[in-house]
Amino acid sequence: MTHILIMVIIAPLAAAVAGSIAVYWSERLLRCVVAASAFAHAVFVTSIIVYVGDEGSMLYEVGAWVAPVGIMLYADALSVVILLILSAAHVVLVLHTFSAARASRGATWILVELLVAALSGIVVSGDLFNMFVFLELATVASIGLVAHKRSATGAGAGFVYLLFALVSGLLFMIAVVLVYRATGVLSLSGIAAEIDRAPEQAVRVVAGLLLGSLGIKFGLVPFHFWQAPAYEAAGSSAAALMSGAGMKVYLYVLIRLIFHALRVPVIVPRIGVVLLALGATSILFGHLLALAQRDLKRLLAFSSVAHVGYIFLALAAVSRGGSIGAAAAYGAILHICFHALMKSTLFYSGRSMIVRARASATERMRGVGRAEPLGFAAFMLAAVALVGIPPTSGFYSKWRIALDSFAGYGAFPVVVIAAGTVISMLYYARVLHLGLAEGERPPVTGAERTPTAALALVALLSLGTFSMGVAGPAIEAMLTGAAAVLADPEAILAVTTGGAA
Amino acid sequence: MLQQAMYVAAAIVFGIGLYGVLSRRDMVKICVSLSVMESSLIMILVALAYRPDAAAPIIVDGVATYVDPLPHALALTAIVIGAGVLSVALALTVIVHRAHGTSNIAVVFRRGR
Amino acid sequence: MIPFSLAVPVGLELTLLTVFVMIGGFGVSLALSARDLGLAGATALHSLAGVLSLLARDLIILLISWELLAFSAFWLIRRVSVPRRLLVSDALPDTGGQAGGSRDAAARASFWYIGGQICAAALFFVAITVHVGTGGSLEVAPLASAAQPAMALGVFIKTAMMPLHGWLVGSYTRAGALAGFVLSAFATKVGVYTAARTLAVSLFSLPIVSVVGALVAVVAVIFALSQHSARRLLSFHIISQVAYMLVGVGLAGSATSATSAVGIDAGIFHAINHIIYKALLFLVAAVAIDYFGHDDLDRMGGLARHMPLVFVCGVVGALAITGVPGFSGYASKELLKKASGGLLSTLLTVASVGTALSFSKFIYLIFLRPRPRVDGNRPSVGRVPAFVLVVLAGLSVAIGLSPHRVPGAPMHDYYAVSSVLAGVWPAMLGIGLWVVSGRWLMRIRGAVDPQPMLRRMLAGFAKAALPPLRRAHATDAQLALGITITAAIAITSVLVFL
Repeated sequence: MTHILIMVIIAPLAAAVAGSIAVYWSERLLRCVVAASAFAHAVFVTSIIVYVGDEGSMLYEVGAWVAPVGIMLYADALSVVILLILSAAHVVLVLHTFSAARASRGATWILVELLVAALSGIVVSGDLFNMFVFLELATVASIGLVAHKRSATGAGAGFVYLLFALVSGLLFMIAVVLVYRATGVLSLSGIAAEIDRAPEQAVRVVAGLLLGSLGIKFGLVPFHFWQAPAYEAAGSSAAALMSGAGMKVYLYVLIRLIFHALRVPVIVPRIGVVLLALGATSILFGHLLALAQRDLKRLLAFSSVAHVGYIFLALAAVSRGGSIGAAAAYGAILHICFHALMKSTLFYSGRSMIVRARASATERMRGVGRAEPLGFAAFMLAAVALVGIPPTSGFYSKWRIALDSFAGYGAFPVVVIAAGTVISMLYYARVLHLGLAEGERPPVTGAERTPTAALALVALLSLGTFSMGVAGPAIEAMLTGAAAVLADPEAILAVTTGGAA
Repeated sequence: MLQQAMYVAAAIVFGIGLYGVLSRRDMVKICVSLSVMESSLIMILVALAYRPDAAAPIIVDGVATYVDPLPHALALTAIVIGAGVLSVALALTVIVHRAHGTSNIAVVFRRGR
Repeated sequence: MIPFSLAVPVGLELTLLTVFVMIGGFGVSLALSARDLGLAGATALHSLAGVLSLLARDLIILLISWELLAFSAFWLIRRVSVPRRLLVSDALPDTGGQAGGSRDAAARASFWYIGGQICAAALFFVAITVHVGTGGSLEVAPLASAAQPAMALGVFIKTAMMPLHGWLVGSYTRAGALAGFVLSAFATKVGVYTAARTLAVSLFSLPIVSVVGALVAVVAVIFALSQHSARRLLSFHIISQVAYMLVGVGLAGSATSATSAVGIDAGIFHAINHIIYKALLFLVAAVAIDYFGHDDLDRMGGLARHMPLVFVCGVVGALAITGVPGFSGYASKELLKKASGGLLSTLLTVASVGTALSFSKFIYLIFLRPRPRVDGNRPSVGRVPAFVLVVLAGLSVAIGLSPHRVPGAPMHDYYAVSSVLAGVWPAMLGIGLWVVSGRWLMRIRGAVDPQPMLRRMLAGFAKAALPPLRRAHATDAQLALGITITAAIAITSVLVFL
């Protein structure tokens, strides 16, 4: 049964390999492979969810080698939520692209499958070194997605992304080395067991390096410079996958390492202040930068930057521990899930507008609301949710985060969140304003119209962003387990299989 | 002592690589600097594994102390990943040069926004 | 979880709800008579949002109604495509004025409107977060004292207290004629209602909300006096009248519980009356604007001869807003003055004099000033607007004559001799002043309005700060990389020395 844990990596990886052969055969065959992979991935993730729901966690030792030598894969309630987001993003991407684009470039699919495999690998990795390898693999796949859509601008953006990713990888590697020097192990549970005996300074340095390294990956201010050009160059669907699921996986790595493996909040209780400062900076700068943009995709990229900030505010409160921490963990998980949904919806519905306007510059969106009413409405609905207008899902998670960070740090984070709400409303109002403006209608030709099936999918997602806030209780039951794991500093301490030392 | 010297050397190499990455405008030179930077990391890994008077981590009769095998594994993997990333970087450089006629990163990145 | 608890209110608030429904209904039927489905939809949504605020029993629903008001108003303001000769048949030809308002200006106004409203909502959000965070419940009730400042500021924006009134004046004057009729009824009144239910704040043991209200009531009247556009004049009077209401509801801040209850009731009562007579006046203005084809008071005149019915209704509205005994404004103003007392009451009386002066001007310029006859021009007001005008005017008189019959209205001896005198002399003084100094008053122009200044400041900041921010992210990748590495080192060292 626990073999499934490795299947979530193998399925998309196999699809990437098979796809790169199939692409020489026919486009249709490639699509079959991709669809099969998405389906299989979803099935495996579902069965992991069921297993973890029953047993609490899932452990797989690759090749039945035990810890000091062997490689360990691990999943619990927290990783399951991230896997679910990843799998859902994968399925939606496949459905959307199948319905929206008649022909697509084969390389995109191979890179997507590779990215999904790498991201799944990151989530289920039980040790630092595998995490590092999969992180690098995910980076390479993302660079491919960024670079190959439009080779003229994409390659430049891809190169810049590569520079940042390389620095991120170096920082991560140095952190790994330091952890190994301090504890002598690399498995997460082993680190958790040994970390108390490690020198405190080492933990502090490692925490800083990890914040830097992963900050680059999910685009926290001041590590965010690569993100806007990359999302702008990447296709909307790829951006949706990277921002919707990729970012969440990197956040998961941060949570796993900082909160569980290294237990930094226990050793350095004041890390909360650092997280709070980073989060507040991200929110304010991210929103201001989004307001300054003249391109829809760049705007969305900076809005992602800001929303990492919200999650950081929640994590800052989690680091306070106790009942505040437990409550805040729920807020963090909730925003992770909702943001994945909302941001993907924005990218997909934004795509229908971009296709219609034949440009992603905001100024070109003049009159797009009339030309593409359904896509535009879906975009605005998701935008309203992301701004956090009640009773949408975005409001609900924002409200939780505001309450929790108020409990942890007083009124300051609440004011920051409110300021973020105002600024983000302004830039979406600008899009609304332009979309409804009576400009010259973009000419309609057959190829530029997003097919109804794709629009229906987008509309469905958009309704999801709206109703999730109302459907809160059902979601709460699902996510409390993950929140409990997040808030528990000893979450992976119990995983040791005897060979950790 | 040897270990310390290695760390210092690695830091110097890292600094050289970083300087190159940040100051050179030509993408090929940046790629070169990147791989210099990466070598410093491998130096650290090797230094980390070092134990006085130890043999390579291959089990042979009569040898009692081996150097730590794990950093070696890390180093090997890092080399592989580094090579892969470097090849991607060079491929991107080629594409950029074809599209823009230059491999000056400043020209490529500045897009008049 | 977001709770959804709604309940039908009782007493005065039920009356307020009825009035909301009524104005919403009138707005929808006016829009339908203009065959503008979009406008009707926006109107319906806007009034539903107003009704929702009164039904709300928890703060989140109240916040939802605030946001819904903002979004529906955004839509309302942008519907400026209402054709002319909608309210009046045989109107004068277009003279290049802003009858329907320009589409661009309205769109810009709607942008500022939503900006202002979202600021108010964000402050509301801060207030309820602090309130709940300090152990309060989500029930609609006075907030914890730590949450009061944010809430007060939010209410000041929502009720357009100067100098935070730009969103109101800018949009009410640029929206279509019918939209102004609907807009004038809801947003600020919901702000007042929220203040009545949640605010109890004092500064240096002064009821700060009341003090601000009293000051704004006077200042806004002074601004109104210098306006030469019918809707701008009415907009500043909205601010002034809403400030009256805040004087009442703000008394919860410091007074004894008895006066505070009276104050809150007086504020809500004034809101009810104000909705009715202000809708009436806005419709009168809309008719005038529709007839003349522009919004410039200086070029109007002589409408009394053409449309006696509208003239009578306009006079009723003017008397009601001035607070002349026998008309609705009198009853609630009387209550407000009694509840506030002292300096506050004096300020309100000063504002009343200004209001009388200002509406003398309004009535004179639109209806009475001699104007050359246009040959063969026989305008008549449409059936639906005429009906609405008559009903609103009738209500104003009915409430004025027997205020105690209004469901939930506080018991009070409304027609004591001293009260009647106190209601009559400011109005007389105002009208007298107009007769004496009207010629001079009409010439005042270009009073400094702080709101374009605020707007220019914000826009200037955006222009100065945002493009450099944008450019900084698209110029030098290596510099960015350097910043990133430096930041990583900085964070690490912060963590080491923390």
